Amino acid sequence: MKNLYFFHMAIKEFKTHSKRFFLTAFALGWGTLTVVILLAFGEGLKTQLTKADKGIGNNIMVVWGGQTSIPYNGLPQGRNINLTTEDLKLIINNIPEIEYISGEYNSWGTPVKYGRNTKNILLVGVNAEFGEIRNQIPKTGSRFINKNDVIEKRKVIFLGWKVAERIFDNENPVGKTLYIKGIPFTVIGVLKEKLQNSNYNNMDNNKAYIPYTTYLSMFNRKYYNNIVLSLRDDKKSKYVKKRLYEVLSKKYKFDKNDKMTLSIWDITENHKIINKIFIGIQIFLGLIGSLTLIISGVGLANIMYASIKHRTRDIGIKMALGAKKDQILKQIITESSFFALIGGSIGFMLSFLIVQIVKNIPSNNSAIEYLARPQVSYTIMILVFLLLSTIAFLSGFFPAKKAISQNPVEALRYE
Amino acid sequence: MNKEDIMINMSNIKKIYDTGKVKVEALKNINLKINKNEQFAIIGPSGSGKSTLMHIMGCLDKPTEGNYYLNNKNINNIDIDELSYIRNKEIGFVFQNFFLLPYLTAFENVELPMIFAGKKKKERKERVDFLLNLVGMYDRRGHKPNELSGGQQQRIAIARALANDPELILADEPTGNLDQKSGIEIIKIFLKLWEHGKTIGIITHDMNLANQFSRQIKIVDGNIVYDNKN
Repeated sequence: MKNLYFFHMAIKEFKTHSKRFFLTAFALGWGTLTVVILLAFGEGLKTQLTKADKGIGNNIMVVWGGQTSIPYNGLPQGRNINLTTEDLKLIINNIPEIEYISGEYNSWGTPVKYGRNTKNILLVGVNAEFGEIRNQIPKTGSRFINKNDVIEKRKVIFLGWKVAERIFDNENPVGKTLYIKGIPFTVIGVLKEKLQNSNYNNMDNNKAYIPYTTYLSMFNRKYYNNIVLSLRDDKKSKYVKKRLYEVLSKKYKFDKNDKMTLSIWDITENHKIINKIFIGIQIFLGLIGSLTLIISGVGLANIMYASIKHRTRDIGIKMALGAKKDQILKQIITESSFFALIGGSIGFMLSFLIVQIVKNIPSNNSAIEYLARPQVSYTIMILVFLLLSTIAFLSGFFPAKKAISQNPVEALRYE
Repeated sequence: MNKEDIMINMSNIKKIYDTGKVKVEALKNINLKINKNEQFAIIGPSGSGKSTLMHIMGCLDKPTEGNYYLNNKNINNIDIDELSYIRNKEIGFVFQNFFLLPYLTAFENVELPMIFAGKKKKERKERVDFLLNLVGMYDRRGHKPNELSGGQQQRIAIARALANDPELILADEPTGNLDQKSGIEIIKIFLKLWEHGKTIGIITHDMNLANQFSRQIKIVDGNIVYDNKN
């Protein structure tokens, strides 16, 4: 009942000092909003970049055969080094640091017929492990090529989603039959749309995959276009590179220090660089966030302080009429909580609203894909809110405490 | 005279304001006894210390030295919250500037001391209605202070001073901000309260008003220089 009175008094004062109330609530709301939005965009950017970075695969290397550049044991320079299925076994057996390995055969501009339409696509023959290595996540209700497909040379095909769109429009491709060189292939899966910020040959969305065994039965190929492999531990990348030269140099008889014999793209290096950029972005956003928080905190403290100072005389009147210390403090606390609650809620609601609006901007270019996908972090939200309401509370509490600790006469003299 | 009949008993009261740089001796040596149901006016030039004296009487301030017994209770030795209790229950104070809370209605302003005293809503309403009738302001109970004239605001302030039915009513220049007619009305209310058994003290500049009170006390430079009772 008594608490209800303090609430009642607080509302009365809000009505008379609506401008002050508005300013305080605004400062609190605005502070919460800016920090939450800022960090939401940062968080979103980070998530998207991580996703895109992982798009090509996690801890992977791509290996192409090259040409010898120095003579070795009486053999001339300029010999071609071409990688084969034998090499795949050799590598995996000799370098245990490698988790998965797959070869790739590419056929550009392969005509694919569905119904009456024919489209030219980039067809790739791969091992079952390729899916793991290159992060080929199928859409629900579909799958990637598996070991049995490879062993039994099954006529199955997995489509990048752009390829699927080109051939099938809005139809569901899974289970449908395509014709390549007159041979019927069953679509077993479609790649889930993914962000990818690096590639070789083409983006995965634009490729179609079949088991390499099936591929070899249709195309006359001796050599891989390239090998792709994933490491158990990205810290071992330098060692694995060295071992690749060692293992292959023995077989092909070249100098293991001849770097031109193999061309190795170590994508784990990219990850390391991107991780450094992330740390930079996080420090930058954290700094801006803290500065914004301090600015709004100072503004809030100012308003609260001024408003309590302004009411020193009112506090004096109440004390002269016999209000006890805690009765006055209770009212100040009720008020501050009220400010915090309303200001904070407004801030939260606006942040949510803005985040939702921005999220729903349709994505037709990669800038939006990266920048306009904010994610609200609840931890940050609650921390910001607690911090600002503590500032609001303390900056109201201390002047009030001072006002009630003096004689009523002194408080009454305050103009 | 019985000890129980004494409302205010001050002996050797001194009040020094120490601003750090200068010390101002507002009250030098005040000895004063005021009986229950007495009426008195304190007069004196500006800066003589009469407001300081009344603030100490009203427990809004404490003396630097000396003893003050209010209703036989030693005020020097009690803490801030007990002092609040005394201001709330035993003293009604009326200020020159009314000091009504601007965001409350007349009714709510009068009700305030009773809320601090923890009285029930029904009891509060009955008492506020009674007091507003007493000062002739019942019709204006829903108005905010800024919608009322100075005289009307002072009536509300008097009703507020009476909220918890205190024995002692003190008024620091209650007519200072009022026109002559309103001033006379306010003094009439005070004298009516005296007839009802209250102890009434006011500060005034106006000798015509002071002469309406049976006892006049004149203060100059922090000392009592005239008291028609002694």
